[in-house]
This record gives sequence, C-alpha cells and structure tokens, in this order.
Amino acid sequence: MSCPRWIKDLACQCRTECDATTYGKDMNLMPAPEQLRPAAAEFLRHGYFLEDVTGSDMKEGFLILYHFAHFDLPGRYSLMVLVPHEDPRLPTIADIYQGANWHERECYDMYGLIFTDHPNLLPLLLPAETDLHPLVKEEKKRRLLSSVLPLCRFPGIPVEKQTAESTGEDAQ
Amino acid sequence: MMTEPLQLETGDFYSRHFEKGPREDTLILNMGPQHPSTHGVLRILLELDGEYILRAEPVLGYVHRMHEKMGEVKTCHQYLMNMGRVDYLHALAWNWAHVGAVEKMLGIEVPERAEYIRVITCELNRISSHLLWWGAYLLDLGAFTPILYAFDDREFILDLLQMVTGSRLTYTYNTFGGVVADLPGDFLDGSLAFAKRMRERLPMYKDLVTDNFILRGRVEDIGHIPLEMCVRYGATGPVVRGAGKPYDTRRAEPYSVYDRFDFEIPTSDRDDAFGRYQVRLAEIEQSLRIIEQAVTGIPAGDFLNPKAPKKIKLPVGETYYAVEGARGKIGVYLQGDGGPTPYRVRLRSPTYSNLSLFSEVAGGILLPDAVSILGSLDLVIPEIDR
Repeated sequence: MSCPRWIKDLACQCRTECDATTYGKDMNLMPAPEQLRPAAAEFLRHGYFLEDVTGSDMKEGFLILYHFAHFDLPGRYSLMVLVPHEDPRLPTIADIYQGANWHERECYDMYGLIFTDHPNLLPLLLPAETDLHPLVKEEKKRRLLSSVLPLCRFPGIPVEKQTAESTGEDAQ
Repeated sequence: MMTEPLQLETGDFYSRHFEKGPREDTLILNMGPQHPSTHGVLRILLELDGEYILRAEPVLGYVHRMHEKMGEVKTCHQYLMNMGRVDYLHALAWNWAHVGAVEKMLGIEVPERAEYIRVITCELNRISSHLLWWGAYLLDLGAFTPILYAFDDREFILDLLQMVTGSRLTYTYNTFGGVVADLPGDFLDGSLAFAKRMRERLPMYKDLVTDNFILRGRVEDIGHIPLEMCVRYGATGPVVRGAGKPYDTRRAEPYSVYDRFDFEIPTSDRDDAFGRYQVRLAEIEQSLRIIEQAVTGIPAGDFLNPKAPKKIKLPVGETYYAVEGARGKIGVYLQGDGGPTPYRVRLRSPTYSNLSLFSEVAGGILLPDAVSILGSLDLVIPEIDR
C-alpha cells in the first residue's frame, strides 16, 4: 500500500516503513518532541483520527506512541516520541486532538509523563492520592529499543541487537 | 455569600479541581457512581444552572483493574481469560482482538472452520450486547417493559453460547490458532432458529418502542455528535456510523473471513441519539445476515490448527490488531522481546474514546438529556477503566 506523499514529507528525525501484515501499521515516524505538535496537526488536517496514545518503558527512556487511522483511507501510522526517564516531559496534543486529553492523563497515571500545557493533567484511572506509576519497569527489566522495536530509530541510539553482555540480564 | 477558599477546601480531589465558575447561582452535582443511569461505576461531575448543564466532567477509575499491567506479567495463554472481563458484554470480540494480535505477530494460521466459528459466535455475542444495550437504554429513559423482551431474546443467545463456550457471560473461547472446542451438534440449527425468531421479533421492537412518540421525544435531536467531532475524539462504532460515516473495522481493515459475507454497514445521517439507536437496531439485522451465511457456508475441518504452538513466546517486534466490537474499534497493541511474557500490552477500548467527547456534547443541555446521551453511547464502564 502506498503511503500518502505528505506523510513521507512530514518533518521528523527518522521514519521506517513497516510490513502491515505482521505489524498492523504502515509506518513509524519518530519526531523530536518539538516536532510532535506540527505532525499531529498535519494528521488532523488530513482527516486522520487518533486511535490512542500509549507508552512503553525502554532502557533509553519512555517511548510514547500515537496511533492514527482514517475513516475512509486504509493504513495506520504511528508517531513515536522518546523522552528521558529523568525529565519525562513532552508537549500535549490535547488542544489539537481533544481525544488525546484522556489518553495523556492515562499516560500520566501509568508512567508519570508530564504533558506540558495539558488543560487538566490529573490522575484519571488511578486514585488521586497515590504517586504510583504501575507501568514503569524496574531498571533490570527495561530493554533496549533495539531489542524490542528494531524498526524504531532515533538519532544517537545504536540499532544493533542487544547481546547478553550488554545487559547482563540474559546471562542469568 | 460563600467565600471562594471555603469551597476549595470542601469536597474531594475532583470537586476541588472542578471549581465553580464565576457565577454564584450554579450548583455542583455528582451524578453517580450510584446513579442508576451510570450503571454503577461512572461518576459525572456537573455544574448546573437550574436543570441546564454548564459543564460536565466524567470521573473514571471505579473499576480499574490494570489489565495492561497484568498483560506484562502473565503469559499470553494466562492473559487470554482477562479479555472476557474487559468488556463482558462483547467478550468474544476482545478474545478475538488479543488472539488475532498474537497470531499476526507469530504468523499462526487459523483453519477456515475456526474462522467461521469465530464469526458466528462473535456476531451472536454482538446481538446479545446490542439487546442488552437496547433494554438498559430504555430502562434509563423510563421504559421498563422493553428490557424484559430483550432479556427474553438474549436468553436464547446465552444458551447457544453456553453450549459452545461453557460460560454465559465472560467467554474465553478463542485460542491461538483457532477455538478451544468444536461446535456441538445442534448449535448450527439453534443459531438458524434463533435468527428466524429474532427476525420475527424485530418488527415488534419497532412497533413497541422505536415508533413510540415518547421515546422519540427523548432521543430525537438530542446529543448531536457530528463527524468532525468523531475525528477529533477518535470515536468509532455506532457513534461514527450514527454520524453518517460507514466506518466498520470489518470492512476498513478486513480480518478473518468477513470479506466473504454480504452485509451492509448501517449508517444514519441524523448524528443524534436516535441515529445511534437506529444504527444499532439495524446492526442486529446485519449480524443475523452474517450468521445465516456463515452457518450455511461453514466448512468441515479442524477447529484448531494442530501446528499452533502450545507455548506462546512473542518474537521481537510490535503489532497492532483491530476488530469491530459492539461499541466500536477494539485494538490490541503488543510489543514482544522474545521472553515468555509480552513486553507491553495495550488495549484500545472504543468506549473510552466515545465517552471522552461527552464533556463537549453536554455543555448547555438539559440534565435528563445527559442520561439519554450517555445511554446512546452504549457505555460499558469496565471496558473504559480496564
């Protein structure tokens, strides 16, 4: 399936095409945090809807995924943003896609991600009194991006497959 | 005159953040979690001016069970039974979404007979979900009788599905590479008999309820959700079809053997609560068509791929698999690292996105209409909270 021209032209750090028969999506786009909002606005301008926003805890940082699909056109595209564990901040897209409001609150619950300028960043599913982030993994359980998502490329992050020596975990 | 600081100190976390607006003659009201029309576990904070809603904010989390975390610590087989608990009204679609995602990642082939069995059981389950919605929605609107009729018909489906799956509500029937057991002898005849019965009942539903002018007064021109709003919120299922867009995952991202069946995707241009009502009732009819075609065309053969692995280990990579549930697009996103448990499991619940637009729709409407709108979204709170 051919990917629309404007998606190929979208400003981002890296992009990789996926085989939809095993990946269920057509392309991964990896924008820098400051490129996220223009990219989301472009998806909205072309009539794509936001399926969900979710995260994954990797060794290199938190990976935040945005899945987009269209009511008329085939294909699923995902934006992936990487933020460091020490400063998990990224801009909100809740003013572009209002549906992202709850998804971002859920990511705040699960990972403690801070979406800057979010209109109402309160816990959504978890009790307000806890500061528990259940989907944050222990340091030794975190995996390198390259050993979970080989099609995910970020500048400065090596793409070699994880070896037993590099983690010290598989050897146990 | 009430002072501002006093108001901020009273109430709980949410009401403190849901501050009163600048006006002094408004009232903050909690609708739920015990309100009957929120079905027990949803709370909506409202700011009211008389009977008119100025602002509304759903508060979630009352049945949050952290299914996504369980997905990371259980093997795929162990996790399968969680799926029937996410959305207990359309459990088989959730079964299918998880099983389909794993099959897609591992490239497990599903025998044709198993695909047909999945279609028949999933569509029966969709009808039972729509019937329960129909009864409960009308109950919310003050009509008691319809739910008795709906449960009468639903009972036939529960009996049929019990024959196949062994349970009546939280099914765990699909498995990786097929289904766990073949169909019992009289299931197919029973499905056809049910389809015949249901077709005879639908005109009665129409006469009794759909054409009733009291109902029309409660649903017509209430809760307009235009297509543009569905795009911004990611609303799917009968909500987007009620806004005139024939978007159905069974056609948009064809999976299984749905491309072999002749069925329509009902839509309505009304984009109000009545439009969504009509879409769901028409979907019952289309599901019956699919069941009849599938029962006639079901091939003999294996119900489970004999080569399907007994132990599932997700390979390195990711996958997204979507199916059409009774309430919209169900998505399962998996990440694998080669270990015995998935690295990440993400469940995309359709009602989560569908309910999130409620705040925008509710501004300026009457309080009784909020009940009508919430019901027309077909909320299953355990699916929203996961």
